[in-house]
Amino acid sequence: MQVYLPIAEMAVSAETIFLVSAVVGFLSGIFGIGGGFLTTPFLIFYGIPPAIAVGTQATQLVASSFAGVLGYLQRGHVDVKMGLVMLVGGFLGSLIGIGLFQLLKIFGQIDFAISALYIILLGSIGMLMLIESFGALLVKKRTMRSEFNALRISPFLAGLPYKMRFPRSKLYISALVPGGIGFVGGLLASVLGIGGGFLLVPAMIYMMGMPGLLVVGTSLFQMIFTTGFATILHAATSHTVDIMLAIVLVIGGVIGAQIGLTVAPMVKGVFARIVFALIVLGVCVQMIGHLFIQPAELFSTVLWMDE
Amino acid sequence: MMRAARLIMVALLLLPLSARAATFAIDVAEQTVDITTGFSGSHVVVFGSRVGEGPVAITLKGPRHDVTVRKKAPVLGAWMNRHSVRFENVPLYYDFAYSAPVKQIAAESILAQYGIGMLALNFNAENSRKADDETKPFQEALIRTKQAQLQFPRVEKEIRFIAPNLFRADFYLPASVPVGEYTVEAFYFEGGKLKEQDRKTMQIAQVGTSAALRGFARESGFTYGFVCVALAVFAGWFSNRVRRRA
Repeated sequence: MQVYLPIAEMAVSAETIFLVSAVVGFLSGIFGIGGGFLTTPFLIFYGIPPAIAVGTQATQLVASSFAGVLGYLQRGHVDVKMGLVMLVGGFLGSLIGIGLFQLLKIFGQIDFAISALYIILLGSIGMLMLIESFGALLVKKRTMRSEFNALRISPFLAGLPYKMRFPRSKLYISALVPGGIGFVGGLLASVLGIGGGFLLVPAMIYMMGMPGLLVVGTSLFQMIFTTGFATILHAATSHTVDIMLAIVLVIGGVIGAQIGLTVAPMVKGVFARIVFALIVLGVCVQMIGHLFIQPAELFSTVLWMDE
Repeated sequence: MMRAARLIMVALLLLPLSARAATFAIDVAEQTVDITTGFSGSHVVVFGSRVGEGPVAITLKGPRHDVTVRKKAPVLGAWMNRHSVRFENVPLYYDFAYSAPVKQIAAESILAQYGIGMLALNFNAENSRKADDETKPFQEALIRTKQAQLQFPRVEKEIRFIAPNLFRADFYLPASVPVGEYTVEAFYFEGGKLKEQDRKTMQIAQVGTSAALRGFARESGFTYGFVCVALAVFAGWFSNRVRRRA
């Protein structure tokens, strides 16, 4: 079935978009990730303008992070105060990100910037996960939790001003640290259309020493607002949120996530992480090819409609 | 059926015209093409009548906009956009049709003056310090891209005569057709010279849900963004409810 996207002004195959978002939703159900970093590149490869892919994907992330956070809230695994401090940075990051996005668009380098950022992010995260998973395979029964607790926060981070108490996380740290992490999250949401959970979660653990139990819920909590804010900014400044595309993405994502969550308990942790790391690296390699192999068509055209 | 009925009406309206005087006239079967949520392309049928034996050419042009063509070049091995040329007033859609082989109509250079034929696809490069042969590959790339999107033709369409003086031409608008005002122009030639011409306009616009959404997004982007977020939040809440009940 062809669906006409009113903002992108093109017809797309609803089945294809639905299938991809369902597969990504399935993966996100199993691995507890947003999956924006898989959907956005796909939409771009499919021929949807990068600006619309990013803006619309941010909308889809609002839905998936909201669905995710409810479960954590019910179990009380969200540090709301920490989330709010991260949000202040997140809003600032989104604002700057949108500005950056517009600039890159004007200079014709948005495709390049998106591809290059994805390669750096996916490459490093994929490699780290792969090494970590293989390490876990070799050295069994090594508990992650105790490792985190033993971790010392760097003296530089510990010495920053504006210290705040976070009773839920039992932390007394500078507000600049969660604010800075949120800032990066906001940047990622507005420039790349991803929630950035795969970056925020390790940062919250390693840079703040936050209890592992609260980390995922809190990152999801602030993600609702940064991705929501990014959506509104994209919609208001460059009209690049396509509601029809968002609806197909959200429905596919929700259904896929349900199946993924059902299957998740049957999946073995370490092997799942290896498969996941390989998927991430696969997308990265694809991106590298996209950027470094001479494209068949060197030319691209841009319409100037909004002047 | 509706379309067929309308075609016949147009044909009947045109017939007495051609019988009465030396007129050359065309009309489009449908003055508007509606793009709905399920839009997957459409046909534009042009009807016309002529007096005499000369050949006819018809063009269909979309709205005009500036288009920038960028060219990638390797920078440290990565392919980035490095050069660009901005072309002014490029028709976002173009197609043309002939009733006879082009040689029997007029010289191609004459046809191009009236905006007919592939040679008419020649655009002005903005503040062009670059030489013509430098911008040429960019123009060729623009035409190539538009052809791939079915928005520019590769060859002419055919004008068929359904009665000695009554002709019709069929154009195709792809799903990705740019919206706006389209102009249909028809030219009647005799002995390689333009004798008569006629033009009509038609509107291609999103209607219904599709148009409403586009209008909403353009005019009040901020509220539109809020609505998108609200929908997403609702979808997230709903999926959580379903999961808990299951």
